This record gives sequence, C-alpha cells and structure tokens, in this order.
Amino acid sequence: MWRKLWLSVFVVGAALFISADMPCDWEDLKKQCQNELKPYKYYAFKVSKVNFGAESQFKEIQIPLFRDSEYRFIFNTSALPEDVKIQIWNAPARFEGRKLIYEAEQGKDIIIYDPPKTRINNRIYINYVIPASNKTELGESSL
Amino acid sequence: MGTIFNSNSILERFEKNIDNKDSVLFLVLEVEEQTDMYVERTNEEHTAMAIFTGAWLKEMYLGLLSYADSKNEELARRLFEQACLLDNIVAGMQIHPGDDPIIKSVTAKLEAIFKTITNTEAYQKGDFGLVENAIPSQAMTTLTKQIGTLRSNITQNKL
Repeated sequence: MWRKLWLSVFVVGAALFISADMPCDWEDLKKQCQNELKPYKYYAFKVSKVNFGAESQFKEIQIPLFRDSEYRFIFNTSALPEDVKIQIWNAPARFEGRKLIYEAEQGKDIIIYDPPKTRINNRIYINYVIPASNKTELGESSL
Repeated sequence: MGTIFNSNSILERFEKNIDNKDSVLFLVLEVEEQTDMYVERTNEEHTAMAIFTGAWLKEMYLGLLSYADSKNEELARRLFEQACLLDNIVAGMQIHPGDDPIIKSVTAKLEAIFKTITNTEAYQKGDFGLVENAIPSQAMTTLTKQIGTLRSNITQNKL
C-alpha cells in the first residue's frame, strides 16, 4: 500500500539560502516558497548557510529521490547578499563524465525547476558555486 | 519531538482517517514537515542523522531478508543503490557531537559495512549506486550478516 501511495505523490523540495553573517528568518523564506508549490505536495526542505570569504567555494548536496515520483525544486536565494550559482548534476563531482541537468538563471530570488522524469534517476546532486566576496564590504552594505 | 504528535490531535486524526489513503498521506506529510521544522529550529540535525541511520539500517535489513527469499535481481540492484548512500551516512555520524559510545560503536560498524560495498568490483569501477548494478552474491552474504548483527545488537541493547 505504501508503495502505491508514494507513487501517486507529487513532491517538492525547497532549498533556502541564508548568509551566515546576516540575521535571517528562514521560516519566512520557506513560506514564500509554499505559494509556488501547488499542485505538488511538501516533501522536504533544506536551509543552506553560506559563509562568504576571500576564496570561492563549492558545496555539494546529494538528494535521494523516489524513482516514479515527479518533483519540483524551489530555491529561495533572497536572503543572500551575492548570487550563488546553482547547478543540478546527475552524479557527484568526483564522478568522471557526469552530466549537467540544469543550471539556474542568476539574479532571481526564487528559482523553480520541474525536472523531466527522463532526466533524473534515483538521486541528483545539487552544486552551489559560491563566489569569493569581501566580507568587510558585505558587512558595511548590510548595515 | 513528542509535541508534534500531541499538537492538533494528529494521532486522533490518523485514527479517524486510517481507511482513507489520501487523508493518511496528508497527515504523514504534515508530520514530516513539522518534524523537519522542529529539527531546523532546534539545531537537532545530528539527532535527525541518527534517526535516518536507524531507518536505513532497518530498511536494508528487511530488503536483504526479502532478497534471501526471492533472489529478485531488481531488488539486488535497489539494495546496491541504497547501500551506496552509506558513505554519506558514515560521514554524518562521524561529525555527531559529543562522545556517545553507542554512536561511536555504530559508526565503526557502519564503516566496516561500507568496506564490503567499496570492495565490490562495481564500486571500484566508479559505480556509486548510479549505474544498474546488483550487489554480487558474496558481498550480499557478508552484508546480510553484518547488517543483521548490527541490527540485533541495537535492538537487544548489546552495543
């Protein structure tokens, strides 16, 4: 019964970004994403804290998926002082020959991605490419 | 976390709607969302990690038992896929705060179990559960023994 139940579910994943240096209400960010959710049902969310620094950074998040479900991914980057590049890959960075499934357009606060079923397998890998940033300048701009 | 189940009479609503698949699904998703929110609010990600580890262990145990009966090759492929998640589970357990001896013992045993996977030819050729490989029979036997023992040690409080 559970298998059938899950197969009929439309699910959504929300990723919320906050800068570790700045106060931020992640629950409000999550609420903003809920408007974009229909007709899908909630499945999971993840808050990613970003520490900007002098060096550019790379973060990888693995998302296990149910094989026969349809997914919507919503990214809310509105609390970030700088753009972060969001990419979705079919395999981890260490996997030679991995394929880029999606790259989000930069400059948008809320990004919605509905992957075609044929493009995702049992998991996806979200990569965040975080640019180098002068922390002092960011601190001043946030005051 | 008990407050999640006590609030809004979730258990009562569950009982009333047990025969309605859609209603049960909504309730399950509601509990899941409230649990996720609780974990984030209280910075209890390490607790969630331990809970997920228990769930993974139980599912693998049941899957391996089922394979022992059915020898279903599709199931063997899914088990390999799930077994490859273990590297992240071990990484999560290794950074668990504090010196809880049970957490340390479970983590060490999970590391040993993951070695069974990394020793397979498929893994060494670069399949991290992304290609349709089944667990080879010898590794399947070892895994069944290792996971069965760990599960028994946990349920019988013998860690």
